[in-house]
Amino acid sequence: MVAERRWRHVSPLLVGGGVIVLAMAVVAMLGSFATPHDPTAMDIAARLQPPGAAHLFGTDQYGRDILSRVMGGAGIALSVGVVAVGIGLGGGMIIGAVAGFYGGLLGEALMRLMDALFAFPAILLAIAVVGALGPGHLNAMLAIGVVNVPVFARLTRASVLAVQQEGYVEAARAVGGTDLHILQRHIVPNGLAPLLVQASVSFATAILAEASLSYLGLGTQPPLPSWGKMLEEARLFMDRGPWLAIFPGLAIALTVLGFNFLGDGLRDYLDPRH
Amino acid sequence: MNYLWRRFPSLLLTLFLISLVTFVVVQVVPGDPAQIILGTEAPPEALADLRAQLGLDRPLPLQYLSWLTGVLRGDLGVSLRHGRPVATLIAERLPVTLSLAILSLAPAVLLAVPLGILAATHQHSALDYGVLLLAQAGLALPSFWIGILLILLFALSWRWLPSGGYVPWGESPLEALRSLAMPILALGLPVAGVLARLVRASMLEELSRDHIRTARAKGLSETQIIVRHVLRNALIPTATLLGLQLGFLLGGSIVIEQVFALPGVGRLVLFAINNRDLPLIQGLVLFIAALVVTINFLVDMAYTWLDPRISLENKHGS
Amino acid sequence: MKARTAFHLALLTLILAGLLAACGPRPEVASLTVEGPTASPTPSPGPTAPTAQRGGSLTVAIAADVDGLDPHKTVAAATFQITRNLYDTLVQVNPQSRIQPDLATSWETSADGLNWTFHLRDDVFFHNGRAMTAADVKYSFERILDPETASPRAKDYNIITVIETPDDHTVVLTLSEPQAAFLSNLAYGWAAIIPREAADTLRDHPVGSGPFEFVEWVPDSHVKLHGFDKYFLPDVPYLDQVTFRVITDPAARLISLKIGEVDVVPEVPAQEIAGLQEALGIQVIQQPFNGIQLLAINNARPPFDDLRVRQALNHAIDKQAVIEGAQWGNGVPIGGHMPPVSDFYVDLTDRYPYDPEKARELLADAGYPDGIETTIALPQPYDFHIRNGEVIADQLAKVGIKATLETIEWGTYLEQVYFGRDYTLTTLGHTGRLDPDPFLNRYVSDRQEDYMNYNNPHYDELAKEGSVSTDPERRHEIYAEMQRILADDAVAVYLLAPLSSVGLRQEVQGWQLYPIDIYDLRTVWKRQ
Repeated sequence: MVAERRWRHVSPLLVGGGVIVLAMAVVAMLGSFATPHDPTAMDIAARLQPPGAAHLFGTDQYGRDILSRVMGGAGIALSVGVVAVGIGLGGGMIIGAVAGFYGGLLGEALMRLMDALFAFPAILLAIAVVGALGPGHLNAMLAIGVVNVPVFARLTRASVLAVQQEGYVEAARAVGGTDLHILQRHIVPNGLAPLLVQASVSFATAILAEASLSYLGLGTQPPLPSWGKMLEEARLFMDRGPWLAIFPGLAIALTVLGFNFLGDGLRDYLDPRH
Repeated sequence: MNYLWRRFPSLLLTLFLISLVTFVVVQVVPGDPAQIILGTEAPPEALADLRAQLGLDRPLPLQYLSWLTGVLRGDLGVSLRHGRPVATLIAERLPVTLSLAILSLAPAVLLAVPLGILAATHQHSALDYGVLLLAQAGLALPSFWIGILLILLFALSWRWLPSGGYVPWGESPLEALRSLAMPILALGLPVAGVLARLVRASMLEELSRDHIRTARAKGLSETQIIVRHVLRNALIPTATLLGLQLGFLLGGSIVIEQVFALPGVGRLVLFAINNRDLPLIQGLVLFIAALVVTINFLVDMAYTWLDPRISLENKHGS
Repeated sequence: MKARTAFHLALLTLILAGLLAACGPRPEVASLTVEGPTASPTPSPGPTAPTAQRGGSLTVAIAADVDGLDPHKTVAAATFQITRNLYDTLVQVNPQSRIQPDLATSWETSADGLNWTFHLRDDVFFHNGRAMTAADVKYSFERILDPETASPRAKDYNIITVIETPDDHTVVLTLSEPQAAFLSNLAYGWAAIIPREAADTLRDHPVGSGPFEFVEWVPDSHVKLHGFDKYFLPDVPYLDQVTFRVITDPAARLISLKIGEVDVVPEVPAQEIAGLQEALGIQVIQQPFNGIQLLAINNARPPFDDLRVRQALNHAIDKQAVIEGAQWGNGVPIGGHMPPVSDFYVDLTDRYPYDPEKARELLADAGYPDGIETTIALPQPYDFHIRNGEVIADQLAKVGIKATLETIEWGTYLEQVYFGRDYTLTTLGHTGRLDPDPFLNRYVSDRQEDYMNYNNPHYDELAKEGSVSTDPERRHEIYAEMQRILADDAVAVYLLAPLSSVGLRQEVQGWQLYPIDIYDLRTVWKRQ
């Protein structure tokens, strides 16, 4: 049971962010079956068409419809975000909870390991993992997920320690609660807030990370329409077909913005100190 | 000083773990370095010889130990592709990357601090929202995309700046600056975004403090208050953030060096990975991570020295 | 509301900035009509001497850094493109693929083809001042063959058993068996002649007898060369200085060319050629490349062990569409494992015309009326092969062959696909050689390079015969038949021979294209 109810402030950021994220989710769903054209179908004769009636966002170097590809890319971006953040959150929560709850040597060792992982610049670690596993968006998801584990672990451990300090745990123990029960009823609900906020932010950085990996040739591979891959392909045509880069770039920016707004809004909502 | 003694062993432990993680990750990498070096026509005996020469046939723990002892002596191994010591390769390229990373802080600071102050002093106004939005935008755009747009604008359309390449400081400071102008902008904008928000937030927090209210009651002008009381304290977390951004900047330099053809450490990382140059990958990754960790440690220390109010335990995430 | 407006404004500004930048002074090409290759100025055997101007400095943008500058110890194309200017070989090849004298002025073979006598020039100096003698030739080949050197190309010269130097300007090489390709093998960059005293530091401080001497190599940045005034050919080189600048990013290379930061971009990506041809101050030279691109088939893996399925694959692919779609029209279709520039080329392009209906029939015959599912391995980061694969996959889908694309990084690709032969289909290319023997003998069944798992004893016999034969007519017959066999057996789908395209600033003259990977700067000069 959450101990206190505080007055919650719903800021425009939360609403704006939520709307954008929802819109992206809808686009992603549509992207898997309701795109104007097949995102991977080539039509060489119609290559590099500027935006027009037949192709709202124009066509790329193979004649593929960019609007359809951007919509398809939404699905990939969101799935990368979900899996990467899922891995980070899941792994991080387990490690952080164990470290915080049980403490001692195990806790110390785990947190040192997290520090070590955290020390690597995110891109570097992601590149190294993808380099080891091979290019591809599944491996990219895994790599970005691994990169996200330390930050969630730290947050979880901090929450666990904070809750412990506030005496709930002792009280619950005094009443006879088991470890699992304490974790479930006290630690998790109170620790959830910062995790949610971080999740939104990590979602955004995961999308950016995938774009960077794809740009370097290590992420999503053809013919999948990932936004980052589209940007990488578009680079070669920037002077003849700026629309190739503008729309995926805007899509990335918009989605990242949405999640950042959401994160900020959640922070305001859940912790109204501001 | 107490702090130093307590944190130092954990720094060492972290460094050791980093070396372990690096080694393990690199070993998982498939692809035979001997094959890549000698090409597709090499006979199997030459390959076996080269593998033995490179020590690739020894058991893993032994390889790790011999690598680690080398590292402690300053020997980061020898690059398979370049045939030269990894440490030398890094030393040659470090000036480029460091120039890039450190100078990127300049546009970040020059943009973020004034904007953050403005936003804080005009909270909830259009200016405030405007700054917040710009900050968000800066964060949201992939830095390589910004880089490409900059090249199109400044190099191709307007011909003001070179499209790539690096001129060493020793040769011509002016040219060096020109060759770095766009890269540091591309790399610095996301940092500016983060920084602006932090400046704004810390200023807001400072402005609401008791001693500021006292100063106002005493009749000091707003400007005087800001300059003499608020700024100093608000900028402390800013300064520490700058140090902590180094990790991001070093990572970002990998992509930016690629876009602008700068011969830095970041490009070397990509080269190493694409060529399965295991010793180079190991040495590079270890070096970069160790650098970031050490700098973070130093920044942490400076932080506590600058602001003794901060409790030593409260440093989780940020 | 205010936040929203500001947001819109910000985005609008960004888009405007991007569009403004994009709609620069360059002409917009709204729809790209793909035309045939530009008529290339026939490379002349030498520079137009009266108008060639001396002096000046040239900057060439290269895609990858050199792998050291020791020609005996590397296989990197990036190295050999440059080392042609630092070192010489016994013989050289001209743009028309003819073998010509270089350090050797003339040569004879014994009747049994086992003894080769080379007469050397007596006016050759190394960059360190010393005159070259036959002893240097002997040393160089011994060094290549020495296991200590671990030269990746040692195998090519294993056939040499004895090297003698009867006098300072004569070398006699004795072979263990006659080899038709032997002479042309001496023209490659890895057979460079070096001075013994510089051998140990050759990698970082190359010393040769070539038209340019070494100034500096800043790794990952550039290689600088300076004209050698004691070069044995009197009038060349024209240039005072050459810098090879490493710019790995193709877009960055082209931008440098357009704004004049570099003078030459030797490999222009296919999709940029049309745009470059229209750019001010820039010329593009094109020439058919001595090499092929193909869709390789693992002949040992079902269902592609069935001839009909392989033939279906051949009929299913529209090569002209691949050329236009993936290579922007910069290539010519082929039907066999030989580029049209070769003397030994046989036109087999009609063997399997584009016929999707036929493809479906053949698949049904072979027992796959509903099509098949397969994978195509793509070597990263070789863009042209990746693009070929993408277009092919699209075409195959139309005859019921669902091909999944799998991009594999080069190191892993070598291990898994090329040597491990663990693949079903893959797009790849092969650079031609000066002699058909090393080019075609990869299909001989016990060879390491037979990654397509082709196994045909008759083919093996022909290859062996061609390799030792010294009768040119017989060799033409043999290699023609070998190409036909490969086409009949549909061992692979032979796609195209690409065009080599070089982007140069207008002031650069005399750049020539060669059938092997070299940049020969002796003929190059700059209009001042």
